[in-house]
Amino acid sequence: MRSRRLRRIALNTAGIVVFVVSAFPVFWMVSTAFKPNQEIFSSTPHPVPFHPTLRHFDFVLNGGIAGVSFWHYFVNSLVVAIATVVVSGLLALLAATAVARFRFRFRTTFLILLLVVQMVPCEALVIPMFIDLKKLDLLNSLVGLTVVYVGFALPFGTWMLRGFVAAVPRELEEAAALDGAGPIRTFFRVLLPLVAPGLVATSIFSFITAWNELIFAYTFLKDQGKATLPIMLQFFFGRSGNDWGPIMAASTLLTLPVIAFFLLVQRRMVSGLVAGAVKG
Amino acid sequence: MATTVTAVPPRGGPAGASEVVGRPDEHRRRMARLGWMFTSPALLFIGLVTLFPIGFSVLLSFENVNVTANGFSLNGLTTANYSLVLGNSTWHYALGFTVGYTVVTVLVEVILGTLMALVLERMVRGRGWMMALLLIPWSLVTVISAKLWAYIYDPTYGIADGLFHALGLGSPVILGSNASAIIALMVADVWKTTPFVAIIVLAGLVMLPGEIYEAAEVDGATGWTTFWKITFPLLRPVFGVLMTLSVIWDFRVFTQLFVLSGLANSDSFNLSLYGYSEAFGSLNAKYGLGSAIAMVLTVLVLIVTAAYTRMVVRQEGVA
Repeated sequence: MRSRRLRRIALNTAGIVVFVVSAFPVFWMVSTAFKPNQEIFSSTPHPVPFHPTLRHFDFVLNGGIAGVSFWHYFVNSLVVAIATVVVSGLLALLAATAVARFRFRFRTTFLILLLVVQMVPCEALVIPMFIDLKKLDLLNSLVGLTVVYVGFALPFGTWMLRGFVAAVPRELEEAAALDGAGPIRTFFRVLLPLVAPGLVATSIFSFITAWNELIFAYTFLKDQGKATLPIMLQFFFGRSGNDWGPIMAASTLLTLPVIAFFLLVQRRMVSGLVAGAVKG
Repeated sequence: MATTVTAVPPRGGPAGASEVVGRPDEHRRRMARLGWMFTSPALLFIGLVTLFPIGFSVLLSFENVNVTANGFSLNGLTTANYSLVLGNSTWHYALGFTVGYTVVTVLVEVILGTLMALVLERMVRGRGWMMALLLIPWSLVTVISAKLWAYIYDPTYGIADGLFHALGLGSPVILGSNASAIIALMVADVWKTTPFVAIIVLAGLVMLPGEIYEAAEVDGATGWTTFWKITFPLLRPVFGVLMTLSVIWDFRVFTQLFVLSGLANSDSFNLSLYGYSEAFGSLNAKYGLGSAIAMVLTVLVLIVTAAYTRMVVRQEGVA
């Protein structure tokens, strides 16, 4: 009995430590966003601002960075992110189901390909990809950027979903087949609800990948009017020191849609069995 | 009769044919067709975005690349880039650094992430909000999160210094000495990626039926036993993929090192940083060399994960 108690205390303490270390920098970021510049650049930093100000938020939201309004950047980012999530989610699910359930000669090659493709450092791909997109006339376009992000999100998404699909016992599908369900029905009634948590996790990943990606957006988008939020953030980093106030304010604002998206989809993060796919 | 069974792929091995009622050839062909159909859209995107550029990168690594102000030109095939890479002492150092860095960060991420997921799974109320809060580090723009940590670690304005002071641990210049700088780097890196591990593991945990756990509790199993004897084996596919991908990513992490350590300090070079510094880091830009370094990195990762890959690929879709 005592060892159980000790174990629980140890686990709780570990949990608290992890939570504090995870949350503290975020708290610091938000708190800095509300601090006036003197407090940000003082040599004795304090956790909570003494004279909280909304100046930085005002500057970010109404300042019009490089002649483009914040909301313009926001819409660009949002459109690209949602498109990436939808397209990559769909294609990854299809491919993952195929890889985990069907047998076809190309399967092995495809799997290895997916894995190898992630091993190449993406910084090395910027120049060749630039040439690639130029030939397809997809440079300087949000569609082109979405294509790139989908291409990046797919290998990971497919591999991850494959793991989840593989963890679903085949007996469930076979039982459904014996009950007379066709392949489509099996997919929607049995597989999909069970894999839903995995789909949620990979869609969060796709969203975040697209939402906060900087290097490729910066390299491929020429028009300021097409720029995304991370590009806007770069304007606050100067050679003679960084404007931390607006940086933190903008970063705080940027996390809000991610949290919103997350809260929206996380309700699907419940046991697929509760969704009533299987009885008994 | 045959139609109901075509929904179900046969179990692995040649014995699978015995489960198929009807025409096994037709069934196999249909599966192959479906397989191709389902994977080709994904393949199209991946081919466009990664395969062609990788191919070009490989080409670059074998060429004598002349970089000028207007662009670059390819001046003949050569293996000089590779011999330059493999004979280089900086490269060997970076390799050792990368391996050590990867081992430590992957272990910490996976262990902490799993702990987080286990705790989250037990929470009933407020789980959504807690997850949202823990997700924020992962959702920050990578450059921003690195700069945030740079700000925290800053010797003058940073709060880290203040905290150390308050705890009576003196006033270390965190990014100054190598040992503490590397730990600081790892903390910044792990901070960002652990929530990702937690989300994936949580998704896996949630998939497991509750009855198993009830049965285990009735049998008197403790948390530790339950995890290793029940949870882990059932989630092996998920953990396998997670670890492989974590290794791949941590092996080539770039942004945090670039922002917090920069190109100046070659004691904190991992292979990505080294490759970048050769390709873009000096006035003497060497695209060919940079590509060669990137390719060698890729091959290394391939070797490291080959064992797992082969195991997965050999089995019939069940890891």
